Amino acid sequence: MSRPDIAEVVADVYREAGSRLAAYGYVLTGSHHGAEELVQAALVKTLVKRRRLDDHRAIEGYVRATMRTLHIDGIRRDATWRRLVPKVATPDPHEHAEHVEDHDDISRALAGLPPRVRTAVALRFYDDLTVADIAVAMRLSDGTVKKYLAEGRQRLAPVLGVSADEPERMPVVERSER
Amino acid sequence: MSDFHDALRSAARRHGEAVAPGLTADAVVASSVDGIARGRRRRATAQAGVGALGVAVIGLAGWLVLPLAGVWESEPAGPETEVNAGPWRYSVESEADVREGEPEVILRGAGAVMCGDELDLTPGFTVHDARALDRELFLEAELTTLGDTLGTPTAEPRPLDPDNPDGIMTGWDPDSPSWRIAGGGEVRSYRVATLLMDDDTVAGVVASSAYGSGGDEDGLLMGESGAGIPRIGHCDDSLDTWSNDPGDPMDTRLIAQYWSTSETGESTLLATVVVDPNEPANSSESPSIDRESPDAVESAELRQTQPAHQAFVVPRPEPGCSPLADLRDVGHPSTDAPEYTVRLPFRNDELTGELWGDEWVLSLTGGETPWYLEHHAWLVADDVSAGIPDPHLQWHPGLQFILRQGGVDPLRGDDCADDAPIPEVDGAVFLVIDGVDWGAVDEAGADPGGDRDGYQTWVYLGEAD
Repeated sequence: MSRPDIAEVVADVYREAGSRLAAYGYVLTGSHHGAEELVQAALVKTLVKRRRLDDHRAIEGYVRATMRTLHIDGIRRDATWRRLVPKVATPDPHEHAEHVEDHDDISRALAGLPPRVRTAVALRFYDDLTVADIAVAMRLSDGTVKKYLAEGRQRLAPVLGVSADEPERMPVVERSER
Repeated sequence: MSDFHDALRSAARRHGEAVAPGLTADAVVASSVDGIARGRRRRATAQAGVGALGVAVIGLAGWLVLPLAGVWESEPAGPETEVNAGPWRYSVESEADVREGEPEVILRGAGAVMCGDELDLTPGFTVHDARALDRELFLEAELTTLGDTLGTPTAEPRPLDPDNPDGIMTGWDPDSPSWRIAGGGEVRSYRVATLLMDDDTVAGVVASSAYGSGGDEDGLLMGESGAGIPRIGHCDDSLDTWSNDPGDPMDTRLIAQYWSTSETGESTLLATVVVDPNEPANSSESPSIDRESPDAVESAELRQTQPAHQAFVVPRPEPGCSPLADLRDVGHPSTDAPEYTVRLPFRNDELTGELWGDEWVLSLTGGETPWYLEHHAWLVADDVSAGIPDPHLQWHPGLQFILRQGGVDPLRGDDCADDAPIPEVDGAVFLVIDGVDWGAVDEAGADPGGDRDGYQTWVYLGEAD
């Protein structure tokens, strides 16, 4: 079987999964521009490593995983340099919470979360990862992840129209759309 | 909404649908994939070539060494333990400081630099848009070590992240090379990256740091940060460990780019600066954003007077890398400075452009005890070719009291580059004495009023040429 043209694969992925990937990128980064850059960077990285993938659904899974890795690595890298040299100006929000789209309260609340809190929220409530899995992915302790999730939930619940104290409901079977 | 998950997904879905139409750069992504793949193939080919060459060289070395086996005890080559170069400072203050031209490299977005790219990088600023000229753009950089950056490295490598002692940042090496940088300007954002070059080909990339105004408006941004050294083949834009065999730091180029917002709201690349560690240092100060320039003042009129010298009462500045020269740069001593006269018994009354050597500056005959004896003192000139522009002087008791270069400078910050003064000066020269002859000031009717602590005397010595 001949290898598909990369441009065609990219177009297929964008057409079939672009909005889902962008939504995921948006929850991770808190911004439209950040989501766009993250999706594109992850897609390039995925296709470079897996040029023989021709199933856009398989690619979508790889791209999502790569987005997560790139984003977490980015947060860690920035945090490390801030720790190394504490006299740092405001980190570029164009990198992780690109400019704060003034679309709605949810946008503002999401963009206003600290990057690690927002990432924990995305992994928990968008990826449906367990606390233990999040801890592994973010290389944090379970307790730190729980603290981040509580903070994220506390700050997002009012704008999402749900109670911050509502018991968390997790699916008992894997979601088919994933 | 009944559930946090569903509410978040629903909100995100709307934004995802809004972003998705913008994901149309299929050709860009595809060309990026192809470009990276080409770069990898090129590197793989090159490394294979290097490997083959290495085998050949080792084979030859084996033949050469064999007859001497047992005579030489050799130890494995260790890593470089010290890396220091610079510091450099580049700024955009006028057209004379910069070149104009198209960017040789792009650090973000479509077309961002990647491994395999062939670049022709020229040190210094290149302006891509005329609006860069009035933005006070600058970049300071120094090639140093993580240990230097962190201050007091421990004997054993330690985790950088105390919350994550087993993480990938564990075991960092204090001797690991690192760029230390400070930069900024009136921009929307700027970004710094380190490229590892194999001749003209990018062999490694680390996007190090980025700063932004947080919106679509430009703002005055300044930041200090560090930049890691990529290893050969490190091409995925992330630095995952500090001690993972970094490339030769002298093969790196530090790149900073500055963006503004155009009238249509687009992000516009203003300028690029390239720092090449092989260039000679052009600054005496380590990168810092803490240096605040004093306000400009109207300079006092200077007059050659003999045998007494014109002297001014000037507030003592805060410590810095060149605090007295900074004051002179903005015009001090000012017309508001109280003025009086000071008598200095000079042995050499002639000022030349070679005043800064390790020579005595002022000597007193035995028995004299003028008020300034053993006060801290400095020399300051209008123009100094390089090095410390306001060197501290040292009293030496003996047959004569000799004021010569040296001593512990209480006004010099701890993180300043320890450069030696350079003996090329021009313009007005002052001897700054850390104190004031208040009796003479009162006699001259030049009392500055208020608290009399924290003042110095600037003695105008004349013009050097």
